[in-house]
Amino acid sequence: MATLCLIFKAKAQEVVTLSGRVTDQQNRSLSGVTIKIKNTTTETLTNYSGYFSIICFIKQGTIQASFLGYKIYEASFNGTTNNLSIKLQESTNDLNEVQVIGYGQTTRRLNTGSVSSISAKQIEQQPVTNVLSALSGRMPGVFVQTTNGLPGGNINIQIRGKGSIAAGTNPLYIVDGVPYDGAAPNPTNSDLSGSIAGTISPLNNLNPSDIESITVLKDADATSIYGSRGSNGVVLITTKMASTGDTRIVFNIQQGVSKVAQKPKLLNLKDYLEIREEAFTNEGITPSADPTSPYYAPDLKVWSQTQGTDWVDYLFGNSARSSDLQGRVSGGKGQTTFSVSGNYHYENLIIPGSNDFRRSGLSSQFQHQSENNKLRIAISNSFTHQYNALSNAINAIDGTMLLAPNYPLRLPDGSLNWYAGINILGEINARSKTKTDNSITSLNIGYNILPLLNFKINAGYTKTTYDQILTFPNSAIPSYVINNTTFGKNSSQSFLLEPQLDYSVKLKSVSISFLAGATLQNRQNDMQMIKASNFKRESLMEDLGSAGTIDVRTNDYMQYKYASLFGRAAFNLNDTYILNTTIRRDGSSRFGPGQRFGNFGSVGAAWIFSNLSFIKERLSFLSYGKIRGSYGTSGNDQIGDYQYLSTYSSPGSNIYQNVAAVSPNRIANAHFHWETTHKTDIALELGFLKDRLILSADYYLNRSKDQLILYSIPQITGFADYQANLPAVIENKGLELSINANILATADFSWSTSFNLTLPRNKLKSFQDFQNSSYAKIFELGYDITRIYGYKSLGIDQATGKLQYADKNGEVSSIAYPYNTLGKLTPDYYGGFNNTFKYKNFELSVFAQFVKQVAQGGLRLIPGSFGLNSYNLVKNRWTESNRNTHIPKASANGFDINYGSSSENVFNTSYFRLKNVSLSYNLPETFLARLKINQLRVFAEGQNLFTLWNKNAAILDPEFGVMKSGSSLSINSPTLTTVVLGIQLTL
Amino acid sequence: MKKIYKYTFTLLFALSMLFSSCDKFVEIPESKNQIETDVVFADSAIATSALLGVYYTLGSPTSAVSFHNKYMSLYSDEYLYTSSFPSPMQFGQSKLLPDNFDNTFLWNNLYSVVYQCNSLIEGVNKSTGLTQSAKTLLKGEAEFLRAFANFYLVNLYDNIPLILTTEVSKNAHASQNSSDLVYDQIIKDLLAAKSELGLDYKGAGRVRANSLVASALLARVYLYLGKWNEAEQEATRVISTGLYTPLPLIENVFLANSQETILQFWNQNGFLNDTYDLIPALATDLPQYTITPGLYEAFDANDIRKSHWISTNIVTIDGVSEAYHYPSKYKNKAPNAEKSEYLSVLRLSEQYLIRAEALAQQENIADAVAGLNVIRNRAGLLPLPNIISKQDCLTAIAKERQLELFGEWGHRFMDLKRTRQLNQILGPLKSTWKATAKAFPIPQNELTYNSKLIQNDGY
Repeated sequence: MATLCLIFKAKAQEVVTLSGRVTDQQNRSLSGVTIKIKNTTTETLTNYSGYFSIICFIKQGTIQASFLGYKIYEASFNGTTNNLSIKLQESTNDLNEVQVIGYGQTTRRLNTGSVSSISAKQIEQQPVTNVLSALSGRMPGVFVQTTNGLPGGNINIQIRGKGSIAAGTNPLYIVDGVPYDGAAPNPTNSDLSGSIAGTISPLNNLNPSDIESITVLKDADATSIYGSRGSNGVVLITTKMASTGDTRIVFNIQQGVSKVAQKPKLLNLKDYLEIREEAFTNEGITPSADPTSPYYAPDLKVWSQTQGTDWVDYLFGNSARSSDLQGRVSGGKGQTTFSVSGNYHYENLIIPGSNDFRRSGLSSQFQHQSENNKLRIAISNSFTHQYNALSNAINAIDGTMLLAPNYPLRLPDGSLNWYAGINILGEINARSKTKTDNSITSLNIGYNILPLLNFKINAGYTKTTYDQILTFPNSAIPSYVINNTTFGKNSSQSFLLEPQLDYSVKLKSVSISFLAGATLQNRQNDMQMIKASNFKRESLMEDLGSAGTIDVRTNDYMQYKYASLFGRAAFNLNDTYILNTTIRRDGSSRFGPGQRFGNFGSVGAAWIFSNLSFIKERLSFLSYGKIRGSYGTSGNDQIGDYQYLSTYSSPGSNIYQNVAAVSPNRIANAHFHWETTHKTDIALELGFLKDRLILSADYYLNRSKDQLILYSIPQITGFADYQANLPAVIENKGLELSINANILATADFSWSTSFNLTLPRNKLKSFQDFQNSSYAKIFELGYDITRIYGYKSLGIDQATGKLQYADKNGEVSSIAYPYNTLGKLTPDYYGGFNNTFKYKNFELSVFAQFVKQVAQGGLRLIPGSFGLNSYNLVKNRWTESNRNTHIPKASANGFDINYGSSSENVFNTSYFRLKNVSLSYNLPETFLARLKINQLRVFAEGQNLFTLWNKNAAILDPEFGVMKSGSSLSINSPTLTTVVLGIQLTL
Repeated sequence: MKKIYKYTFTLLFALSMLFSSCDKFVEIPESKNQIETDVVFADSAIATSALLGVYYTLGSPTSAVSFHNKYMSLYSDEYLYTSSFPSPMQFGQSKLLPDNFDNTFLWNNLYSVVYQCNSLIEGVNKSTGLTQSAKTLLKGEAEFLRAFANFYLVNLYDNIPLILTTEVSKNAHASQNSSDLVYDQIIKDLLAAKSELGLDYKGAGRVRANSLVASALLARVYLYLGKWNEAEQEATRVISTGLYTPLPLIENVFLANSQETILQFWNQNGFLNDTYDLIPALATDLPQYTITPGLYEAFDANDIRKSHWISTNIVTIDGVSEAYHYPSKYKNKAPNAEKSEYLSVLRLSEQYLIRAEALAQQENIADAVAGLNVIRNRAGLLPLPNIISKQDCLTAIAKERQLELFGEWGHRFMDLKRTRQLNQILGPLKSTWKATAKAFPIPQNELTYNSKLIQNDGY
């Protein structure tokens, strides 16, 4: 009642008007700055030239100006004040910076959760196609792995370790409040996903330069509000909003050149032949020129002994280019603002064949605020079209690279030589064309019911369609394969409705805010695939009517529904003690009846102890100190739809006796339920010397249980796996450190640096009836779940020159044990180091990242085995005169089947990489003013410029390791060194 | 304040209304392309298409089983491999690695058949919508198919778990059973199928099991077990129906619905994808699979089978011309409506050979030779005299089996195995041959995920 009286009183009082202009330190007007009367909901935005005018009903108070990337400005007022001059200071690591969190905003200072973010500026400095690449190394606890160097290729992102064994380690992506499906589109469509294009990351649909900020939520306090979907962390992507001001036109043009960053070192022809000859001599057998002989060795007997091809050079010797063109027009007056932007991106590949990736997009935004500031409407639309045309050369990289150096691509009669099963001259004629159209529409309506009570509704609609054609004409395949084309169409549409109500009240020194909301989501997936073969003409490979046979025709529908209720209550006492609680109840159609609903919640607290007068007085160097902690639960429902149902269906190819036959879809399990992750986080944040140095350390402990996985089972059960809860507890814990420092800041020169380090640990804590489970051999209790297992090498037996392997107990044995622990994929530590220097109008930023890790290499067969070339390191093989080695003797007969999966093939792949260097120059304003140009920036950026690593490891690149045949992630092109030059023009 | 409460309550009320019927918001309609298992077995047409699904899994042109014929021929002494893919190379050397792709594919394919049969039998038993006669027929065919899969599993892998339910909790930890137990089940299934099924073929063609098909496989099973009398009786039952005689011309044996067909696997386009691998595109190409000199020379010069089932390419490399022989029992490489070819599974010639062997083992040489001569006669060979010794008769039958059935269903390998001649015949031909190669390795993944399974010796 008291509050209500206040309001009435306020209304009776006189109206106060505040007006002025907001600029940056260089006196350039800033438009779109939020002007707010503190502790009220009265707010407005600055107009095109930075001016604002705001009416409020309290006589005295604090006016606040906030703008992303700038420090929050506060000043008190008393009565109507005009001509306020507000100068915002750019913030490099300011604690009062706006921090985006789930369903709201706070500041870094007052945040109770563990959150990291990067700004538009840091994204723009990096010439990346997929915006997730820009996160690499920038945030503690966030491990980004580029799984291939292809444009549009998939990117793995793990937030605080691998919490799940099998599928579903994707974080939840939220774009402007709307959940965005981050999983690759066609997992059901193995013909397409396993083929040329591989899995395509949907995040490619986002144009990096349209993004204002990316925030990663890590602990329970930050993620529990997303309940069942927050287990693997949440990535909040905020796009650039329209702002009031003069109509502003920004152009950005950039052009880049790329070359391969690392070339694997393989044997040259001379060394290759020498080892092959030796391999035959060692076994006492003679190579034969007869193709039906078991000792047929065309590399020694048929092909040229003097002329060869350096396949690495052949594949990776070329350079690729990229172009970017962006334009944005924004402006607006008074209550209404708009922004329209367009972008175009092109890149090709270094590998042979025609490989092009094009993306073009158009996005628009419109915001309106009613005259009384009560109603706000924002609608944004973005449409992206991608065209990805690749040749199958990508699929043949692995095989081609390891061909014998004297392998002839053509036979003496000029026809293609398919002896190896691949031929790059043919593969380049196999084409994959993927068209992706993506549209995202979101509508936000907010209504200020009462001064302290707001109602908001978010509605979002996302539609993505993929249209893929995969052609294998006769010229692309050996004669024993039938020419074929696969046509695939895949579309997914998702609708989201999210009403919310928030209420905040300040009672003396306590401010309390409540948020309540609900989510309804409905997603549908439609998939169609036709595989046809026996086409009569190469030019008609895309004409379904010309196909002789239709091998597969199938479609699939999936529907997913999701509903939840959530709430948050936050208490803030004197900006010193902060308590934040969230609760969420979720239901998902992916679970069977009776298992559909789950409850999740969290408690987070922070104590800003630097507010104590004791510290303020005695320890004045400590400008900021906070201890925060949180505990809570979140879940994961990243599983397939309908998995609880026992069903039959027609896969589309199974016609028998002219009847479409059906077969069982899966082993159904009606009992699986939500998986839960319990997250604990304790952190200390310290600021020294007026926050010029900020340290932050987080310790986290996440325990996931009842993980939803495709539980692997032996095929004698009829299937390879089934959906179930893993009766295990997996623990991820670790330490995250970050340091941000403004080392120097003078009028002309500034130097700021940031450093982050993560030490992750993962272990299988417990597992019910482990010994009898399917995982008894794959995992080890108490050990990391990314365990690499295989044959443990015990060195060379000097009598035979062969490797000796260990049994279960580590003893030399003739029966090698295939499940010995060889290492783990979880890195020991990883981190990044960034330095930014500014001198007058120049800005230089240098960013490096590092990882300490091991990985399995690309050794397959022992030296001298036919069919594959090998890495240079096998030159050090065992011979009578070279006994001190662990590379076995060359052998042409029989294969040491254990070698490729032995500890000899596990390498230290730690690296230090100069990931990004960016240099930019802003032309002086005085000069530009004459040309009627607001701003002209020229810049140069370099990506992956230099890497320190163990170059003897049998891998392609330390960042993504080796190519492995058989999985779609294997289809990759190595990491590129890219140099980009560009101009940004603002009119 | 009141207002706040009012709004808050209105919203909370609205939300709770929404969620009072919570389940509705996460209720999804029935899938448009998946049929719930109960529904499948409520209707005989859908249940039949589930049965056809098993045939498809076993016999489609891309199934492991039909692909496997050529690998089995590499594994024994029928074909040589001239290309460089690791998996067939391992078959050529009779040295499979436990992670061999095609071996894994075959195992998975056969166990998928077993699962589908078990699911079908369970579904039919539980069904209330199917008539008794429909149930019997569906069950009979499923039992035949299960026996067929188990027959190959036990012959190729020796030690296999016998899976008779769909219960994953049980099957995931199943251990291997003795081959005697597996054979008991095979015979039980085949006898059941024989009695449950009729004499007619369901649907068009001879592409589904009936009582005679069950007998034909039963005859082979009894032969393998040395139950000569039973083998003779089952073979006689098949031969004497007259449904499959007289034997067609050599060139027509593998055509769809040929006279001697007991069971074929249907395909949509009238050709097997395998012919792409076996028959080179050009007459000057080196075939990927060549007939071994031993097999080629085993044929008489005037054997019609040699000229119809084996073709020859002359390949010139560096000016030197060489003749390479390759198998060509099936010839179509594109859709062919007039002369469709289906993969032959069981055919009458084998039944003559089974009966001849069973008779010879029972000392009835004259009848044995008479049967053998039916095969020889069609091949354009002179009849054998019916006064030869038992040993000579058995040798002649074995040779006829080698010639008649080469490249089909691993007959050669399994014949050498059941007559314990593998080491004697393959040992001298392959430096990589080991006695333990008589059984294929259990695929590595099976051992990884089921600790109860034990790898076969030698792997």
